[in-house]
Amino acid sequence: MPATYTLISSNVLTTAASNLTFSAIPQTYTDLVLRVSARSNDAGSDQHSRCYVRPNNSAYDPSYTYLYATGTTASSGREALGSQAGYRFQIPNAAATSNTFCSMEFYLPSYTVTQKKPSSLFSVSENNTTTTNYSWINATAGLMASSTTAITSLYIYDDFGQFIAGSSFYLYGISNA
Amino acid sequence: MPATYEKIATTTLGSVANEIDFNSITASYTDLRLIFNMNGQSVASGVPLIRFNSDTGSNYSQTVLAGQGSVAASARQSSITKIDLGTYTAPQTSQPTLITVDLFSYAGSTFKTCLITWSNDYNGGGSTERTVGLYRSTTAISAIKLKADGSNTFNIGTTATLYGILKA
Repeated sequence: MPATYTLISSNVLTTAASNLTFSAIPQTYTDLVLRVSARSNDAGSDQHSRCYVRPNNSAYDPSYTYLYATGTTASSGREALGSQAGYRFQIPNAAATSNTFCSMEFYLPSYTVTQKKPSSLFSVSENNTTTTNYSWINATAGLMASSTTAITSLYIYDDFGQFIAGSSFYLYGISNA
Repeated sequence: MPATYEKIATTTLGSVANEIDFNSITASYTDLRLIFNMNGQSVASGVPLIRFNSDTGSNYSQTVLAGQGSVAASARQSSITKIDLGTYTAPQTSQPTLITVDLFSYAGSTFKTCLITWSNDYNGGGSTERTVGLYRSTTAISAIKLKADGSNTFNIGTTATLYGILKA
């Protein structure tokens, strides 16, 4: 029986990088799963950096609805089509507690099918702090509605700084065949 | 080495349907994972549900945490006849919704807990939800039913795949 859950590609950084791309993604799976463990070298005092995942790295922007908590209250927001540069997630930066990395999973089903694509992103960043906004839990529901083309690449970038060495990015394919 | 993550069954709708069933589920895995890419439904009202073992009794309960775009919300229901896959927004007629269901120790002799994620955005509406559901039965789960609300139907192109996860 062919493998159901297969590592397509991995990238564990040995030097800092502001972005990376998983390109030429095989079109032989059913769903994609991206798993990230990352930290930023940005020195902002709010202890986190803003990052994005952008399918196909095109000018197309998704829309999404998100739920997040930062240690005191839970809140929700929405980003409209055309307003964002990709699916957003937060990672600890240089001001955060040392050795802390985010964990993020981005699930993209039916990525080869010519239809609108929903997605799910879940990211967490715990900083051992009681200061609001320094740790995050985020759940995002996304939609790529304007483009129905197959996903052939994923572009991931740190909007404020660079992913530090040791940050890891794994792309898996899930097959229902 | 036996495979850890295996496809058990998959359905892709070539015509609209009110229900999707997985029957005769083997008890040889540890956990189950269901990936349900719902390609819209016939009417933008009512949320789909999940039931186990054809049980329509009041043997279910759920607690939900949701982001609705402007507010975060939570709700709870006990002694209900199903578990809702989503609570706060209905699937649209032409926008997809991604639903995942994780069933832990589904073949064990204790009550069954499931974790449901609901990702439904339609550019100005929708919700992201996390639901914990409890099925108060000590019988192994051998059947799963996904059902649209009332007489609604899931659109063509909707896909549901059941995976088995094995710890040994």
